Amino acid sequence: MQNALVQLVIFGIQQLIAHAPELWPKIQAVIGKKDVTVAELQALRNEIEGDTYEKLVPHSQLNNPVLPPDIEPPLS
Amino acid sequence: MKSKTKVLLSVVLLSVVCAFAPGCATQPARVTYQVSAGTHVTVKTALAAWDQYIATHPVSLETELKVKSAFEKYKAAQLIVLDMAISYKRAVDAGLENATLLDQFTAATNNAAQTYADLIGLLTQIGIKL
Repeated sequence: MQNALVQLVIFGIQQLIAHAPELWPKIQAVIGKKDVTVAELQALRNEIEGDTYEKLVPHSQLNNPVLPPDIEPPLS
Repeated sequence: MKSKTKVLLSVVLLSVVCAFAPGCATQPARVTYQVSAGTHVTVKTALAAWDQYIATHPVSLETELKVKSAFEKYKAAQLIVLDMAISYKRAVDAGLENATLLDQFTAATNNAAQTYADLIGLLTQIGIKL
C-alpha cells in the first residue's frame, strides 16, 4: 500500500513537470495559491458556532415541544 | 484508474503530504479551512434533508436526540480544530513553529473527521438519502 502511494506521488510529480501549465489551475484549486488568514479562520469558526441544531432543523420537535393541556382550576 | 483521475489523486496526495511536511508550515491551516468549510456545507445539506424527513415522517424523540447529539459532537470537534488552526497559524506567522502543536492539531483533525463520519453515518442509517 505504502509502495503504491509513493509511486502515485512520484507519478504526480512527473506529470506536474511534464504538464505544469495545464495542471496549475487544478493544483491551485486543491492547494490554493493564497494562504488562509487568521481572520478567515475566525470567520468560519463564528459561522459554525452560530449554526445550532434547532436553527438548521426548523421542523424539529425540539423547537415545537408538545405542551401538556392546561389543567382546569377546581370549581369552588 | 483513468489517467486524469490518477493525476488529480496524486495532486491531492501531494497537497496532503505538503500540508503536514516540514517547510510547508502554513498548509495545515489552509487545508483545515478548506476541509472544515466543505464539511460544514455537507453537514448543513444533510441536516436540511433530515429536516424535510422530519416534516413528513414520524420520528421518535429518542432518534431526534441522537441526531442532535451527533451534530453537537461534530460541531464541538470542528470548533476545537479551528481554534487549533488559529493558534497554529499565529505561531507560524510569529516564526514559532511547534511540532507538539502540530501533533495536537493532527489529533484534533482526526477526531473531527470521526465525528463528521458518525453524524453522516447515523443519518444514512436512519434512511436519509444524502
